[in-house]
Amino acid sequence: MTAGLSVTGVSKRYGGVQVLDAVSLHAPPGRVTALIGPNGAGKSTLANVVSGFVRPERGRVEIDGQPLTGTRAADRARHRMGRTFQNLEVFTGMSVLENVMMGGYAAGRAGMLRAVLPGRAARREERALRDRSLAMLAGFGLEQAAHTVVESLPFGQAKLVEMARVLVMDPTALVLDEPAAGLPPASAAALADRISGLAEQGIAVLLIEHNMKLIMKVSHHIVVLDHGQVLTEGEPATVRADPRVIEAYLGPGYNRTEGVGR
Amino acid sequence: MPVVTAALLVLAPLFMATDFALSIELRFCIWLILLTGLNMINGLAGMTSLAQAGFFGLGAYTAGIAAAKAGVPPLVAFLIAPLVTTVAALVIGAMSLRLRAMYFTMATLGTGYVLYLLFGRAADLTGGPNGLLGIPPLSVAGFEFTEPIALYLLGAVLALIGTVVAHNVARSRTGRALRALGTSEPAAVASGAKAFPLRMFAFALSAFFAGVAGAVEAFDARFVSPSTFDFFTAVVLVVALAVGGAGTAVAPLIGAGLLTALDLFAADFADYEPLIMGIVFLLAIQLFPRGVGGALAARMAHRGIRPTREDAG
Repeated sequence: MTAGLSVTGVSKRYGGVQVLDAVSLHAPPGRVTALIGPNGAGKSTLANVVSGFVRPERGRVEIDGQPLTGTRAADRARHRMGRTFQNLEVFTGMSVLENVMMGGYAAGRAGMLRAVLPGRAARREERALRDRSLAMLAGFGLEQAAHTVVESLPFGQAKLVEMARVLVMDPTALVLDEPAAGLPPASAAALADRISGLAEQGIAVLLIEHNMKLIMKVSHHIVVLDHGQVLTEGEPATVRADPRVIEAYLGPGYNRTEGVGR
Repeated sequence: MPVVTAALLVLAPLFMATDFALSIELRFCIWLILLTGLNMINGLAGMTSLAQAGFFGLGAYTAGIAAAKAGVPPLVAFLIAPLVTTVAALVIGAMSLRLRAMYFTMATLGTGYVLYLLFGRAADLTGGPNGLLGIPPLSVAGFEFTEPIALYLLGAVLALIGTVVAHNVARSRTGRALRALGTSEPAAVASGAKAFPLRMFAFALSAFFAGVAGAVEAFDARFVSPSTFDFFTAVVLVVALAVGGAGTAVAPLIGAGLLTALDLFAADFADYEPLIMGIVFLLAIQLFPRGVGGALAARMAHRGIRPTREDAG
Protein backbone atom coordinates (compact mmCIF):
# COMPACT_ATOMS: atom_id res chain seq x y z
CA MET A 1 0.00 0.00 0.00
CA THR A 2 1.21 3.45 -0.90
CA ALA A 3 0.28 5.97 1.73
CA GLY A 4 -1.05 9.33 0.62
CA LEU A 5 -2.25 10.29 -2.81
CA SER A 6 -0.94 8.56 -5.88
CA VAL A 7 -1.66 9.14 -9.52
CA THR A 8 -0.55 6.51 -12.00
CA GLY A 9 -0.46 6.85 -15.77
CA VAL A 10 -3.33 9.32 -16.08
CA SER A 11 -4.20 10.40 -19.61
CA LYS A 12 -6.91 12.79 -20.70
CA ARG A 13 -7.72 14.10 -24.14
CA TYR A 14 -10.02 16.99 -25.02
CA GLY A 15 -10.87 16.85 -28.70
CA GLY A 16 -7.54 16.67 -30.47
CA VAL A 17 -5.48 17.90 -27.54
CA GLN A 18 -3.73 15.47 -25.24
CA VAL A 19 -4.08 17.48 -22.04
CA LEU A 20 -2.59 14.81 -19.79
CA ASP A 21 -0.28 12.13 -21.13
CA ALA A 22 0.49 9.25 -18.78
CA VAL A 23 1.04 11.45 -15.77
CA SER A 24 2.17 9.79 -12.56
CA LEU A 25 2.95 11.42 -9.27
CA HIS A 26 2.89 10.63 -5.61
CA ALA A 27 2.00 12.97 -2.77
CA PRO A 28 2.98 11.22 0.48
CA PRO A 29 1.33 12.10 3.78
CA GLY A 30 2.97 14.78 5.84
CA ARG A 31 4.57 16.45 2.85
CA VAL A 32 3.76 19.23 0.46
CA THR A 33 4.04 18.07 -3.13
CA ALA A 34 3.91 20.98 -5.53
CA LEU A 35 2.68 20.75 -9.09
CA ILE A 36 4.01 23.51 -11.28
CA GLY A 37 4.12 24.22 -14.96
CA PRO A 38 3.32 26.91 -17.49
CA ASN A 39 -0.26 27.85 -18.32
CA GLY A 40 -1.98 25.11 -20.27
CA ALA A 41 0.35 22.42 -18.93
CA GLY A 42 -2.63 20.45 -17.60
CA LYS A 43 -2.35 21.28 -13.89
CA SER A 44 -6.01 22.13 -13.38
CA THR A 45 -7.14 19.14 -15.39
CA LEU A 46 -5.00 16.95 -13.16
CA ALA A 47 -6.57 18.55 -10.09
CA ASN A 48 -9.99 17.77 -11.56
CA VAL A 49 -9.01 14.19 -12.33
CA VAL A 50 -7.64 13.71 -8.82
CA SER A 51 -10.78 15.14 -7.21
CA GLY A 52 -13.11 13.24 -9.52
CA PHE A 53 -14.59 16.10 -11.53
CA VAL A 54 -12.98 14.87 -14.74
CA ARG A 55 -12.83 11.24 -15.77
CA PRO A 56 -9.51 10.27 -17.37
CA GLU A 57 -9.33 7.89 -20.33
CA ARG A 58 -6.57 5.95 -18.65
CA GLY A 59 -4.81 5.79 -15.35
CA ARG A 60 -5.50 5.38 -11.65
CA VAL A 61 -5.94 7.65 -8.68
CA GLU A 62 -5.49 6.11 -5.24
CA ILE A 63 -5.72 7.42 -1.73
CA ASP A 64 -3.86 5.35 0.87
CA GLY A 65 -3.81 2.49 -1.62
CA GLN A 66 -7.58 2.57 -2.18
CA PRO A 67 -8.46 3.00 -5.83
CA LEU A 68 -10.74 5.95 -6.51
CA THR A 69 -11.03 5.36 -10.23
CA GLY A 70 -14.65 5.35 -11.29
CA THR A 71 -15.92 7.14 -8.21
CA ARG A 72 -17.46 10.56 -8.62
CA ALA A 73 -16.32 13.77 -7.01
CA ALA A 74 -18.92 13.54 -4.24
CA ASP A 75 -17.75 10.04 -3.31
CA ARG A 76 -14.16 11.17 -3.02
CA ALA A 77 -15.10 13.42 -0.14
CA ARG A 78 -16.07 10.22 1.68
CA HIS A 79 -12.53 9.01 1.09
CA ARG A 80 -11.46 12.24 2.77
CA MET A 81 -10.11 13.83 -0.34
CA GLY A 82 -10.43 17.59 0.00
CA ARG A 83 -9.90 20.30 -2.54
CA THR A 84 -10.07 24.04 -2.93
CA PHE A 85 -10.67 25.85 -6.17
CA GLN A 86 -8.68 28.22 -8.31
CA ASN A 87 -11.54 30.68 -8.31
CA LEU A 88 -12.98 31.30 -4.90
CA GLU A 89 -15.84 28.86 -4.33
CA VAL A 90 -17.83 29.68 -1.21
CA PHE A 91 -21.53 29.34 -0.52
CA THR A 92 -22.92 32.84 -0.90
CA GLY A 93 -26.03 33.63 1.07
CA MET A 94 -24.87 31.28 3.81
CA SER A 95 -23.09 32.25 6.98
CA VAL A 96 -19.37 31.69 7.45
CA LEU A 97 -20.18 28.99 10.01
CA GLU A 98 -22.53 27.19 7.63
CA ASN A 99 -19.89 27.36 4.91
CA VAL A 100 -17.42 25.62 7.17
CA MET A 101 -20.01 23.12 8.43
CA MET A 102 -20.59 22.06 4.85
CA GLY A 103 -17.09 20.58 4.96
CA GLY A 104 -18.42 18.01 7.41
CA TYR A 105 -21.14 16.88 5.03
CA ALA A 106 -19.41 13.76 3.78
CA ALA A 107 -18.81 12.40 7.26
CA GLY A 108 -22.41 13.09 8.31
CA ARG A 109 -24.83 10.25 8.81
CA ALA A 110 -28.20 11.97 9.17
CA GLY A 111 -30.20 10.94 6.11
CA MET A 112 -32.86 12.88 4.24
CA LEU A 113 -35.69 11.64 6.45
CA ARG A 114 -33.81 13.09 9.38
CA ALA A 115 -34.10 16.44 7.63
CA VAL A 116 -37.87 16.21 8.06
CA LEU A 117 -37.88 14.69 11.53
CA PRO A 118 -34.52 15.12 13.23
CA GLY A 119 -33.87 12.56 15.91
CA ARG A 120 -31.58 12.84 18.86
CA ALA A 121 -28.65 11.38 16.93
CA ALA A 122 -29.07 13.89 14.10
CA ARG A 123 -29.20 16.78 16.58
CA ARG A 124 -26.12 15.53 18.38
CA GLU A 125 -24.29 15.19 15.09
CA GLU A 126 -25.22 18.76 14.11
CA ARG A 127 -24.03 20.12 17.45
CA ALA A 128 -20.73 18.28 17.23
CA LEU A 129 -20.15 19.55 13.70
CA ARG A 130 -21.05 23.06 14.77
CA ASP A 131 -18.58 22.97 17.65
CA ARG A 132 -15.85 21.53 15.46
CA SER A 133 -16.48 24.18 12.80
CA LEU A 134 -16.43 27.00 15.35
CA ALA A 135 -13.14 25.67 16.70
CA MET A 136 -11.76 25.55 13.17
CA LEU A 137 -12.88 29.13 12.56
CA ALA A 138 -11.20 30.18 15.77
CA GLY A 139 -7.98 28.62 14.45
CA PHE A 140 -8.23 30.95 11.48
CA GLY A 141 -9.08 33.96 13.63
CA LEU A 142 -12.53 34.10 12.09
CA GLU A 143 -14.72 33.24 15.09
CA GLN A 144 -16.09 36.78 15.16
CA ALA A 145 -17.30 36.39 11.60
CA ALA A 146 -19.02 33.04 12.18
CA HIS A 147 -22.53 34.39 11.81
CA THR A 148 -21.98 36.89 9.05
CA VAL A 149 -22.85 36.11 5.47
CA VAL A 150 -19.72 34.87 3.74
CA GLU A 151 -19.82 37.32 0.83
CA SER A 152 -19.47 40.22 3.24
CA LEU A 153 -15.91 39.10 4.07
CA PRO A 154 -12.88 40.50 2.24
CA PHE A 155 -11.39 38.20 -0.41
CA GLY A 156 -8.48 36.97 1.68
CA GLN A 157 -10.72 35.98 4.58
CA ALA A 158 -13.19 34.28 2.25
CA LYS A 159 -10.28 32.18 0.98
CA LEU A 160 -9.58 31.19 4.57
CA VAL A 161 -13.22 30.15 4.97
CA GLU A 162 -12.76 27.88 1.98
CA MET A 163 -9.65 26.43 3.60
CA ALA A 164 -11.44 25.95 6.93
CA ARG A 165 -14.25 24.17 5.09
CA VAL A 166 -11.96 21.52 3.58
CA LEU A 167 -10.13 21.07 6.86
CA VAL A 168 -13.34 20.29 8.75
CA MET A 169 -13.50 17.29 6.46
CA ASP A 170 -10.33 16.06 8.23
CA PRO A 171 -8.75 15.26 4.88
CA THR A 172 -6.24 12.51 4.20
CA ALA A 173 -5.26 14.21 0.97
CA LEU A 174 -5.77 17.81 0.00
CA VAL A 175 -5.56 19.42 -3.42
CA LEU A 176 -4.98 23.16 -3.21
CA ASP A 177 -5.57 24.79 -6.57
CA GLU A 178 -3.71 28.11 -6.60
CA PRO A 179 -4.49 29.08 -3.01
CA ALA A 180 -2.36 32.23 -3.21
CA ALA A 181 -4.01 33.60 -6.36
CA GLY A 182 -5.23 37.11 -5.69
CA LEU A 183 -3.73 37.35 -2.21
CA PRO A 184 -1.51 40.27 -1.19
CA PRO A 185 2.10 39.27 -0.29
CA ALA A 186 1.55 39.41 3.47
CA SER A 187 -1.45 37.07 3.27
CA ALA A 188 0.47 34.76 0.96
CA ALA A 189 3.22 34.50 3.56
CA ALA A 190 0.69 33.61 6.25
CA LEU A 191 -0.79 31.08 3.87
CA ALA A 192 2.61 29.46 3.45
CA ASP A 193 2.79 28.82 7.19
CA ARG A 194 -0.66 27.30 7.12
CA ILE A 195 0.18 24.98 4.26
CA SER A 196 3.31 23.81 6.07
CA GLY A 197 1.16 23.27 9.14
CA LEU A 198 -1.24 21.07 7.16
CA ALA A 199 1.61 18.80 6.13
CA GLU A 200 2.81 18.63 9.72
CA GLN A 201 -0.65 17.33 10.65
CA GLY A 202 0.04 14.39 8.34
CA ILE A 203 -2.06 15.47 5.38
CA ALA A 204 -0.84 14.63 1.88
CA VAL A 205 -0.89 18.07 0.29
CA LEU A 206 -0.86 18.52 -3.47
CA LEU A 207 -0.23 22.19 -4.12
CA ILE A 208 -0.84 23.74 -7.51
CA GLU A 209 0.57 27.23 -7.54
CA HIS A 210 2.21 29.89 -9.69
CA ASN A 211 3.77 31.83 -6.86
CA MET A 212 7.32 30.44 -6.89
CA LYS A 213 8.25 32.13 -3.64
CA LEU A 214 5.48 30.23 -1.90
CA ILE A 215 6.37 27.00 -3.68
CA MET A 216 10.02 27.21 -2.71
CA LYS A 217 9.12 27.98 0.85
CA VAL A 218 6.69 25.15 1.54
CA SER A 219 7.25 22.26 -0.86
CA HIS A 220 9.17 19.13 -0.10
CA HIS A 221 8.92 17.84 -3.62
CA ILE A 222 8.10 19.49 -6.93
CA VAL A 223 6.58 17.92 -10.01
CA VAL A 224 6.88 19.94 -13.21
CA LEU A 225 4.19 19.45 -15.79
CA ASP A 226 4.56 20.64 -19.36
CA HIS A 227 2.34 19.85 -22.35
CA GLY A 228 0.53 17.24 -20.27
CA GLN A 229 3.66 15.32 -19.33
CA VAL A 230 5.86 15.22 -16.29
CA LEU A 231 8.91 17.14 -17.41
CA THR A 232 10.91 16.50 -14.29
CA GLU A 233 10.50 16.18 -10.56
CA GLY A 234 12.62 16.38 -7.47
CA GLU A 235 13.63 18.53 -4.56
CA PRO A 236 12.91 22.25 -4.87
CA ALA A 237 16.54 23.32 -5.29
CA THR A 238 17.20 20.72 -7.99
CA VAL A 239 14.06 21.55 -9.91
CA ARG A 240 14.73 25.24 -9.74
CA ALA A 241 18.14 24.79 -11.29
CA ASP A 242 16.97 22.45 -14.03
CA PRO A 243 17.46 24.16 -17.39
CA ARG A 244 14.48 22.31 -18.89
CA VAL A 245 12.21 23.84 -16.27
CA ILE A 246 13.54 27.30 -16.96
CA GLU A 247 13.02 26.79 -20.63
CA ALA A 248 9.50 25.46 -20.23
CA TYR A 249 8.56 28.37 -18.06
CA LEU A 250 10.38 31.21 -19.72
CA GLY A 251 11.25 30.06 -23.19
CA PRO A 252 14.69 29.24 -24.57
CA GLY A 253 17.61 31.60 -24.14
CA TYR A 254 16.46 33.07 -20.87
CA ASN A 255 19.22 34.16 -18.53
CA ARG A 256 19.00 31.54 -15.80
CA THR A 257 20.57 33.66 -13.08
CA GLU A 258 17.27 35.52 -12.84
CA GLY A 259 15.55 32.38 -11.63
CA VAL A 260 12.17 30.94 -12.35
CA GLY A 261 8.70 32.38 -12.24
CA ARG A 262 7.47 35.63 -10.93
CA MET B 1 -40.46 30.84 12.24
CA PRO B 2 -42.83 28.07 13.38
CA VAL B 3 -43.60 30.23 16.42
CA VAL B 4 -44.55 33.22 14.27
CA THR B 5 -46.71 31.06 12.04
CA ALA B 6 -48.38 29.39 15.01
CA ALA B 7 -49.17 32.74 16.58
CA LEU B 8 -50.63 34.01 13.34
CA LEU B 9 -52.74 30.93 12.74
CA VAL B 10 -54.11 30.95 16.28
CA LEU B 11 -54.77 34.69 16.39
CA ALA B 12 -56.43 35.09 13.00
CA PRO B 13 -59.69 33.28 13.82
CA LEU B 14 -59.87 34.97 17.24
CA PHE B 15 -60.19 38.32 15.50
CA MET B 16 -62.30 37.26 12.58
CA ALA B 17 -64.40 34.13 12.89
CA THR B 18 -67.33 34.69 10.57
CA ASP B 19 -67.79 31.92 8.05
CA PHE B 20 -66.49 34.18 5.33
CA ALA B 21 -63.43 35.18 7.33
CA LEU B 22 -62.70 31.56 8.15
CA SER B 23 -62.90 30.59 4.50
CA ILE B 24 -60.39 33.34 3.67
CA GLU B 25 -58.17 32.22 6.53
CA LEU B 26 -58.31 28.68 5.20
CA ARG B 27 -57.27 29.97 1.76
CA PHE B 28 -54.30 31.54 3.52
CA CYS B 29 -53.42 28.14 5.02
CA ILE B 30 -53.66 26.43 1.64
CA TRP B 31 -51.42 29.05 0.02
CA LEU B 32 -49.03 28.74 2.93
CA ILE B 33 -48.77 24.95 2.52
CA LEU B 34 -48.22 25.34 -1.24
CA LEU B 35 -45.56 28.00 -0.84
CA THR B 36 -43.79 26.26 2.04
CA GLY B 37 -43.47 23.28 -0.29
CA LEU B 38 -42.40 25.40 -3.24
CA ASN B 39 -39.77 27.05 -1.07
CA MET B 40 -38.00 23.67 -0.81
CA ILE B 41 -37.27 23.42 -4.50
CA ASN B 42 -37.36 27.07 -5.63
CA GLY B 43 -35.78 28.51 -2.52
CA LEU B 44 -33.65 25.94 -0.74
CA ALA B 45 -32.53 24.06 -3.85
CA GLY B 46 -32.58 27.11 -6.11
CA MET B 47 -34.24 25.19 -8.95
CA THR B 48 -37.35 26.99 -10.16
CA SER B 49 -40.35 24.71 -10.48
CA LEU B 50 -43.48 25.80 -12.31
CA ALA B 51 -45.26 22.52 -11.54
CA GLN B 52 -46.56 23.41 -8.08
CA ALA B 53 -50.01 24.40 -9.35
CA GLY B 54 -50.16 21.18 -11.37
CA PHE B 55 -49.26 19.07 -8.34
CA PHE B 56 -51.80 21.06 -6.31
CA GLY B 57 -54.41 20.05 -8.88
CA LEU B 58 -53.18 16.49 -9.01
CA GLY B 59 -53.60 16.29 -5.24
CA ALA B 60 -57.08 17.80 -5.35
CA TYR B 61 -58.25 15.54 -8.18
CA THR B 62 -56.66 12.46 -6.62
CA ALA B 63 -58.42 13.06 -3.32
CA GLY B 64 -61.65 14.09 -5.05
CA ILE B 65 -61.81 11.22 -7.53
CA ALA B 66 -60.84 8.65 -4.90
CA ALA B 67 -63.55 9.85 -2.55
CA ALA B 68 -66.29 10.74 -5.05
CA LYS B 69 -65.88 8.09 -7.72
CA ALA B 70 -63.81 5.23 -6.34
CA GLY B 71 -65.66 5.04 -3.05
CA VAL B 72 -62.47 5.21 -1.04
CA PRO B 73 -63.05 6.39 2.54
CA PRO B 74 -62.43 10.17 2.61
CA LEU B 75 -59.57 9.95 5.11
CA VAL B 76 -57.78 7.42 2.93
CA ALA B 77 -58.46 9.57 -0.14
CA PHE B 78 -56.93 12.50 1.74
CA LEU B 79 -53.80 10.51 2.53
CA ILE B 80 -53.41 9.11 -0.99
CA ALA B 81 -53.24 12.58 -2.57
CA PRO B 82 -49.76 13.60 -1.30
CA LEU B 83 -48.42 10.13 -2.07
CA VAL B 84 -49.56 10.39 -5.67
CA THR B 85 -48.09 13.88 -6.12
CA THR B 86 -44.81 12.75 -4.54
CA VAL B 87 -44.56 9.80 -6.92
CA ALA B 88 -45.36 12.13 -9.85
CA ALA B 89 -42.57 14.46 -8.77
CA LEU B 90 -40.13 11.57 -8.49
CA VAL B 91 -40.95 10.53 -12.05
CA ILE B 92 -40.69 14.08 -13.45
CA GLY B 93 -37.60 14.74 -11.35
CA ALA B 94 -35.88 11.56 -12.51
CA MET B 95 -36.21 12.83 -16.06
CA SER B 96 -35.34 16.47 -15.52
CA LEU B 97 -33.32 17.05 -12.35
CA ARG B 98 -30.05 15.93 -13.89
CA LEU B 99 -30.42 18.76 -16.38
CA ARG B 100 -29.45 22.34 -15.86
CA ALA B 101 -31.78 24.59 -13.90
CA MET B 102 -33.35 26.17 -16.96
CA TYR B 103 -34.28 22.83 -18.52
CA PHE B 104 -35.72 21.65 -15.25
CA THR B 105 -37.94 24.75 -15.19
CA MET B 106 -39.05 24.00 -18.75
CA ALA B 107 -39.87 20.42 -17.79
CA THR B 108 -41.95 21.57 -14.83
CA LEU B 109 -43.73 24.11 -17.03
CA GLY B 110 -44.64 21.27 -19.37
CA THR B 111 -45.68 19.06 -16.46
CA GLY B 112 -47.98 21.71 -15.05
CA TYR B 113 -49.54 22.34 -18.42
CA VAL B 114 -50.05 18.68 -19.25
CA LEU B 115 -51.71 18.14 -15.87
CA TYR B 116 -53.94 21.16 -16.45
CA LEU B 117 -54.99 19.82 -19.85
CA LEU B 118 -55.61 16.42 -18.33
CA PHE B 119 -57.90 17.90 -15.65
CA GLY B 120 -60.00 19.58 -18.33
CA ARG B 121 -60.00 16.84 -20.96
CA ALA B 122 -60.21 13.54 -19.10
CA ALA B 123 -63.88 14.25 -18.52
CA ASP B 124 -64.86 10.71 -17.57
CA LEU B 125 -62.57 10.83 -14.63
CA THR B 126 -62.33 14.50 -13.72
CA GLY B 127 -65.67 15.86 -14.85
CA GLY B 128 -63.86 17.90 -17.48
CA PRO B 129 -64.36 21.66 -17.68
CA ASN B 130 -67.49 21.40 -15.53
CA GLY B 131 -65.45 20.19 -12.63
CA LEU B 132 -65.62 17.25 -10.29
CA LEU B 133 -68.74 17.07 -8.16
CA GLY B 134 -69.98 14.86 -5.37
CA ILE B 135 -66.98 14.85 -3.07
CA PRO B 136 -68.15 13.70 0.36
CA PRO B 137 -67.00 15.60 3.45
CA LEU B 138 -63.80 14.50 5.11
CA SER B 139 -64.58 12.40 8.14
CA VAL B 140 -62.21 11.09 10.73
CA ALA B 141 -63.52 8.62 13.31
CA GLY B 142 -67.08 9.81 12.81
CA PHE B 143 -66.26 13.52 12.94
CA GLU B 144 -67.19 15.33 9.74
CA PHE B 145 -65.22 18.34 8.56
CA THR B 146 -68.09 20.44 7.28
CA GLU B 147 -68.06 23.50 9.53
CA PRO B 148 -65.74 26.32 8.42
CA ILE B 149 -64.01 26.34 11.79
CA ALA B 150 -63.23 22.63 11.58
CA LEU B 151 -61.87 22.99 8.07
CA TYR B 152 -59.85 26.01 9.11
CA LEU B 153 -58.34 24.14 12.04
CA LEU B 154 -57.44 21.26 9.75
CA GLY B 155 -55.74 23.65 7.33
CA ALA B 156 -54.03 25.55 10.13
CA VAL B 157 -52.66 22.43 11.79
CA LEU B 158 -51.35 21.10 8.49
CA ALA B 159 -49.81 24.46 7.59
CA LEU B 160 -48.12 24.56 10.97
CA ILE B 161 -46.78 21.03 10.62
CA GLY B 162 -45.51 22.04 7.19
CA THR B 163 -43.75 25.06 8.65
CA VAL B 164 -42.11 22.93 11.33
CA VAL B 165 -40.95 20.44 8.70
CA ALA B 166 -39.55 23.26 6.56
CA HIS B 167 -37.80 24.66 9.61
CA ASN B 168 -36.21 21.28 10.32
CA VAL B 169 -35.19 20.73 6.73
CA ALA B 170 -33.58 24.14 6.38
CA ARG B 171 -31.46 23.58 9.46
CA SER B 172 -30.51 20.02 8.62
CA ARG B 173 -27.44 18.56 7.00
CA THR B 174 -29.56 17.93 3.90
CA GLY B 175 -30.94 21.46 3.77
CA ARG B 176 -27.48 22.94 4.10
CA ALA B 177 -26.24 20.79 1.23
CA LEU B 178 -29.18 21.86 -0.93
CA ARG B 179 -28.43 25.51 -0.38
CA ALA B 180 -24.72 24.93 -0.94
CA LEU B 181 -25.47 23.19 -4.25
CA GLY B 182 -27.54 26.18 -5.28
CA THR B 183 -24.72 28.67 -4.83
CA SER B 184 -21.55 26.74 -5.65
CA GLU B 185 -22.16 23.33 -7.09
CA PRO B 186 -18.46 22.38 -7.47
CA ALA B 187 -17.63 23.18 -3.86
CA ALA B 188 -20.73 21.40 -2.60
CA VAL B 189 -19.93 18.32 -4.67
CA ALA B 190 -16.32 18.39 -3.49
CA SER B 191 -17.72 18.38 0.05
CA GLY B 192 -19.60 15.18 -0.73
CA ALA B 193 -23.04 16.45 -1.70
CA LYS B 194 -24.74 14.47 -4.46
CA ALA B 195 -26.78 16.92 -6.47
CA PHE B 196 -29.31 14.57 -8.05
CA PRO B 197 -30.69 12.72 -5.01
CA LEU B 198 -30.70 15.89 -2.92
CA ARG B 199 -32.69 17.79 -5.53
CA MET B 200 -35.02 14.82 -5.95
CA PHE B 201 -35.69 15.02 -2.24
CA ALA B 202 -36.47 18.75 -2.38
CA PHE B 203 -38.73 18.34 -5.41
CA ALA B 204 -40.55 15.34 -3.96
CA LEU B 205 -41.08 17.17 -0.69
CA SER B 206 -42.45 20.22 -2.52
CA ALA B 207 -44.90 17.98 -4.36
CA PHE B 208 -45.90 16.24 -1.13
CA PHE B 209 -46.90 19.64 0.28
CA ALA B 210 -48.82 20.41 -2.92
CA GLY B 211 -50.65 17.11 -2.53
CA VAL B 212 -51.65 17.98 1.04
CA ALA B 213 -52.84 21.41 -0.08
CA GLY B 214 -54.79 19.80 -2.91
CA ALA B 215 -56.52 17.37 -0.56
CA VAL B 216 -57.50 20.21 1.78
CA GLU B 217 -58.80 22.16 -1.20
CA ALA B 218 -60.87 19.21 -2.46
CA PHE B 219 -62.48 18.54 0.92
CA ASP B 220 -63.04 22.23 1.58
CA ALA B 221 -64.75 23.16 -1.70
CA ARG B 222 -66.10 19.59 -2.21
CA PHE B 223 -65.73 20.49 -5.85
CA VAL B 224 -62.65 20.60 -8.05
CA SER B 225 -62.41 22.56 -11.27
CA PRO B 226 -59.44 22.75 -13.67
CA SER B 227 -59.24 26.54 -13.75
CA THR B 228 -57.96 26.61 -10.15
CA PHE B 229 -54.73 25.00 -11.38
CA ASP B 230 -54.11 26.90 -14.59
CA PHE B 231 -50.94 28.52 -15.86
CA PHE B 232 -51.71 31.75 -14.05
CA THR B 233 -51.75 29.93 -10.69
CA ALA B 234 -48.45 28.24 -11.57
CA VAL B 235 -46.80 31.59 -12.26
CA VAL B 236 -48.44 33.45 -9.41
CA LEU B 237 -47.11 30.91 -6.89
CA VAL B 238 -43.56 31.40 -8.12
CA VAL B 239 -43.98 35.17 -8.14
CA ALA B 240 -45.48 35.29 -4.65
CA LEU B 241 -42.61 33.24 -3.28
CA ALA B 242 -40.08 35.45 -5.05
CA VAL B 243 -41.69 38.58 -3.62
CA GLY B 244 -41.48 36.99 -0.18
CA GLY B 245 -37.83 36.16 -0.82
CA ALA B 246 -37.43 32.57 -2.04
CA GLY B 247 -35.14 30.64 0.24
CA THR B 248 -35.88 32.69 3.32
CA ALA B 249 -38.04 31.41 6.15
CA VAL B 250 -40.59 34.23 5.92
CA ALA B 251 -41.13 33.95 2.17
CA PRO B 252 -44.07 31.50 2.28
CA LEU B 253 -45.79 33.59 4.93
CA ILE B 254 -45.45 36.82 2.97
CA GLY B 255 -46.34 35.13 -0.28
CA ALA B 256 -49.43 33.51 1.23
CA GLY B 257 -50.52 36.88 2.59
CA LEU B 258 -50.10 38.40 -0.83
CA LEU B 259 -52.08 35.65 -2.56
CA THR B 260 -54.85 35.84 0.02
CA ALA B 261 -55.09 39.58 -0.52
CA LEU B 262 -55.25 38.92 -4.24
CA ASP B 263 -58.08 36.42 -3.66
CA LEU B 264 -60.05 39.02 -1.74
CA PHE B 265 -59.40 41.69 -4.29
CA ALA B 266 -60.15 39.42 -7.23
CA ALA B 267 -63.64 38.85 -5.93
CA ASP B 268 -64.43 42.33 -7.22
CA PHE B 269 -61.86 42.83 -9.96
CA ALA B 270 -61.27 39.36 -11.37
CA ASP B 271 -60.20 40.66 -14.78
CA TYR B 272 -57.39 42.70 -13.31
CA GLU B 273 -55.82 39.90 -11.31
CA PRO B 274 -52.84 39.32 -13.64
CA LEU B 275 -52.31 43.05 -13.98
CA ILE B 276 -52.26 43.56 -10.21
CA MET B 277 -49.90 40.66 -9.69
CA GLY B 278 -47.64 41.98 -12.41
CA ILE B 279 -47.48 45.41 -10.84
CA VAL B 280 -46.85 43.98 -7.37
CA PHE B 281 -44.04 41.86 -8.75
CA LEU B 282 -42.41 44.74 -10.64
CA LEU B 283 -42.58 46.98 -7.58
CA ALA B 284 -41.28 44.22 -5.34
CA ILE B 285 -38.22 43.44 -7.44
CA GLN B 286 -37.43 47.15 -7.62
CA LEU B 287 -37.76 47.66 -3.88
CA PHE B 288 -36.51 44.29 -2.65
CA PRO B 289 -34.39 42.56 -5.28
CA ARG B 290 -33.99 39.52 -3.04
CA GLY B 291 -37.55 39.55 -1.82
CA VAL B 292 -38.94 40.87 1.42
CA GLY B 293 -37.26 38.04 3.30
CA GLY B 294 -33.91 38.88 1.74
CA ALA B 295 -34.30 42.53 2.70
CA LEU B 296 -35.16 41.57 6.29
CA ALA B 297 -32.13 39.28 6.48
CA ALA B 298 -29.86 42.02 5.15
CA ARG B 299 -31.22 44.52 7.65
CA MET B 300 -30.75 42.15 10.57
CA ALA B 301 -27.24 41.24 9.42
CA HIS B 302 -26.52 44.96 9.31
CA ARG B 303 -27.51 45.30 12.92
CA GLY B 304 -25.33 42.38 13.88
CA ILE B 305 -28.16 39.95 14.40
CA ARG B 306 -27.40 36.71 12.69
CA PRO B 307 -29.05 36.40 9.31
CA THR B 308 -32.36 34.62 9.06
CA ARG B 309 -31.18 32.48 6.18
CA GLU B 310 -29.31 30.40 8.66
CA ASP B 311 -32.62 29.63 10.25
CA ALA B 312 -34.47 29.51 6.97
CA GLY B 313 -37.60 27.45 7.28
